Amino acid sequence: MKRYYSAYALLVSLACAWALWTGWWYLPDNKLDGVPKSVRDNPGSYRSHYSHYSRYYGGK
Amino acid sequence: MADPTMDCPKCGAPLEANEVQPGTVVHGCSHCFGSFYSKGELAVRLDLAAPKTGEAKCPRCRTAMDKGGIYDGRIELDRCLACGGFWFDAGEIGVLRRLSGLSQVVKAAADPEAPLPPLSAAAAAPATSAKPGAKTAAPEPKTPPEPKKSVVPPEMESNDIDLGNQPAAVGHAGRRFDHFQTSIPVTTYVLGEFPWVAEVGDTVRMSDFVCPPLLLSEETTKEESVWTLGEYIEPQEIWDAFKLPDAPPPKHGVAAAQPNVWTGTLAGMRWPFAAAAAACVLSYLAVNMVALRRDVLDVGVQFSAQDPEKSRVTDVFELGGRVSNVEIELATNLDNHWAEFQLTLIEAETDKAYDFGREISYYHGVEDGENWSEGSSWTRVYVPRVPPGRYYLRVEPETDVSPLNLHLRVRRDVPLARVPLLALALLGLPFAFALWQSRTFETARWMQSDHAPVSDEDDE
Repeated sequence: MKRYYSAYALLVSLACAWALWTGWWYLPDNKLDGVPKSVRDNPGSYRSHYSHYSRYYGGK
Repeated sequence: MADPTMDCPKCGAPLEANEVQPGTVVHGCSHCFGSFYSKGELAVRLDLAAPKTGEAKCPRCRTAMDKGGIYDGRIELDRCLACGGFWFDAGEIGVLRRLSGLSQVVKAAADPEAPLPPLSAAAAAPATSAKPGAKTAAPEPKTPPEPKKSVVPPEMESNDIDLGNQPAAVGHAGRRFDHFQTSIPVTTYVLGEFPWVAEVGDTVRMSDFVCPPLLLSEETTKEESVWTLGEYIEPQEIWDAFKLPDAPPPKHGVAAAQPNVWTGTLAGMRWPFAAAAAACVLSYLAVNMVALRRDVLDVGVQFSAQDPEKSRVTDVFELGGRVSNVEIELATNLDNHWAEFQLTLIEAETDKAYDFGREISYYHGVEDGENWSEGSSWTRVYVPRVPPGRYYLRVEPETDVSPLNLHLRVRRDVPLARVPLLALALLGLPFAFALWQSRTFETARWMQSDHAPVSDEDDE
């Protein structure tokens, strides 16, 4: 058990160092390809995937 | 051997005849461990106080037995008026031996006609309380039996079963043995050969002390105190040693001296956990020292309901260095309102982008004289693993607040403390699991002891 946990601990510490160095953090897949270059001149030509993000009606 | 002519008056099982000494046969029940002594077999005469007709039937003559107490009711006996026999429930013979001070309650066979010794004053039943018409013995002289010189602790000398005043632990061979339990077992059945005289009703005070896999037991009688050292052995080891067929029966529960395998596991995990945790913290400190934390954009944007196009794009900014994260801070003028933001971090030279949304809501007020607030007027987003290059941000709000002021701040390469915290949590999970298993194991062990964390009585 000690051997397995040692290997696991080594893996976790290496992953931690890698995540810190590369700026990794969990975020849902949000990478996009094919965004039109016209967005720069005409922002309304592109609609975000999050356009229908659920609304929040917070407060008391 | 079983006597088909006699059944247990309490559970109905056939009684077994045991010749406890030449010429003396005591009938015992192997189910409820009670025993029947015929007339003349007991070495002491017993007079019941305030006897009443009980429910039990005499196993010998089937007549209803009287029930009454001796020694101020400490023992409740069943007596047959017809044949003169006595029924003792499990353990009562042992209690009688201790209360009467007799080493044997069975009459010595060598002298069957010897007069019975007197009862102690406490045991003698008042003649006036006897059942009218019952065959009661004449009052005995108030002379208690001469006590033997004893080596047992004082609490054993009393007429009560006292299990208290046990040491919390004892030491032996450099080890600490923790007190497990103390009991007064009673011999209810004897089978096999013994190098000493074993008798039904024999009692000792037995204390167990554990230091797994070792078990130290103390057996105390009025004459001596014997210590025994035992060791827990896995059933399979016994099976293999004696070359027994098949497999040993499955284990149930946890034995008093059974080693806790999780203790060794925990000890083995301690150093890897400490080393890995230190490595994670050091990694964070090291990355912090070389992190850029460079401000690449700091701009204010205003959105109005009158704008024909709600979305905006920022100027192009440079993200330098290695592949790293980007921190985007959104600060607003929201007050008791909410807004949703759709953000896209777009690489200016290619068609690649990172798309994400964030909601900001901030409410506050006073209710019942107390201030309350909920949410915040700002938030931060971390876009992970963004390659170096030239980027700009597209922002599209969704709100009915007008005008909506948004302050955007973009920083490059910001190490997150939550990364080593997550790593520590991952490292601690197996540790916590092993700790929980170890505690569960020990709880199961000590539930059987005098030091149970939750006793069965608490459940009732």
